[in-house]
Amino acid sequence: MDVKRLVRGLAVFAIAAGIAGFAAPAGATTLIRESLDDLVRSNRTIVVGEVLDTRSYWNADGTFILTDVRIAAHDVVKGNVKNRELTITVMGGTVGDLTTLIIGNPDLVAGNSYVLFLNEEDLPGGKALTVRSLIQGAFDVRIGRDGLRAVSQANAHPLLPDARGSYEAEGGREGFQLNSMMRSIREIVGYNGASPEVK
Amino acid sequence: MNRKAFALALVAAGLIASAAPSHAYRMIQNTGVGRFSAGAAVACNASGGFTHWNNKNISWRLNTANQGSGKTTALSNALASWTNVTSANHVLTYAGTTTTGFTTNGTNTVLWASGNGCTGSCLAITALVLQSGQVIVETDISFNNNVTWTTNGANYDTEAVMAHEIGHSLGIHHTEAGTTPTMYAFYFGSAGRSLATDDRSALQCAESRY
Repeated sequence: MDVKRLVRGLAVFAIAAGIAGFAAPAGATTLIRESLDDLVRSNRTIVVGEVLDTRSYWNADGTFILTDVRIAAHDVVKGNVKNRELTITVMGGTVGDLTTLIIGNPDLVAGNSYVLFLNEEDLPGGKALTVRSLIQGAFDVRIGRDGLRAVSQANAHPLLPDARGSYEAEGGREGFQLNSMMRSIREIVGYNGASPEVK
Repeated sequence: MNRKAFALALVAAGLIASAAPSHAYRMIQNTGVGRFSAGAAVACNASGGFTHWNNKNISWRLNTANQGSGKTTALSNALASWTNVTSANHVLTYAGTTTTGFTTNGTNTVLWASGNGCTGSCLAITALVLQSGQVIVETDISFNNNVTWTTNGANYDTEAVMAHEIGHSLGIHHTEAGTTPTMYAFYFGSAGRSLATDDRSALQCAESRY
């Protein structure tokens, strides 16, 4: 087969798919768009980590299915994480033949890496460290042409515009170059946490 | 890219677009792999099906704590909008008040709270409790009590968001229509109270398949 023709054909198909609007929206629960600045300010812990495993269970009073997600933190960008491992809790999961599906939840799969924005919040059954901003607080770490990239899961979930009228998920469909995102987060954390200079 | 290739791309785009389903609505599919899931958006004829009720008579209760007070009419009207869809036999009724919260207890509840995983940028969150993969046996909707909710059409309009979330409770995902059906992903004011043809088609799809 003529390789040039094949490449040209694939390019034509890719452009055609783009024109036809192949990318499908998804998601449901109603969320207002959060900027990176909003995410950094409203969450106490930010990590880049790999999901080790997940475990779903009924909460202590047997009223709601929760899932614990154990994470190995490769990088702690904000907050303190002992021994570079942490367990977060998200609503929903499957126990037996019963599934609680939370529309707008982040999708966290064992073996995959994410940038996670975490905060302690009230969940059914008590306070727990969780992905406060749901799908907006989880970025998939993917290999891109220029190295690792962090792509917001909110790209698959239409958002309500924020106060500036923006509604695209932070980083857009291409996402952030991971190192660049970490630098931006550290700048925001440093700025927020800096004590005023006294002379 | 030369003109010929560009023209070819346009033709291919037309073919792809014409091959897409004629309806823009989407249904929620539990991708059920033994973990929590946000639910996938699928077409009516998706293999594997989509979330749906086996019982067409479904009742909701309102927790009047916090901003739940004075929202009975908004809930009743939103339920009536879906009940009135022709060629669909779903009968959604308001069954009175409750004091239960965002709990799996067999009662479909609408409540206002400052928690339940819906704070900050979250306006409202919907949970579907599923049995046997895709069968909905309960649904609960929690509105963010830290947001101001109105019944006079001003932002945020309770009935419009209620109608949207009830749609999710029936297994309907966000539509891909570029107009503004109730199941459009974006809030567009009190106009969202009235169902569009696309919304009605979604419920009729559930009716015809199950």
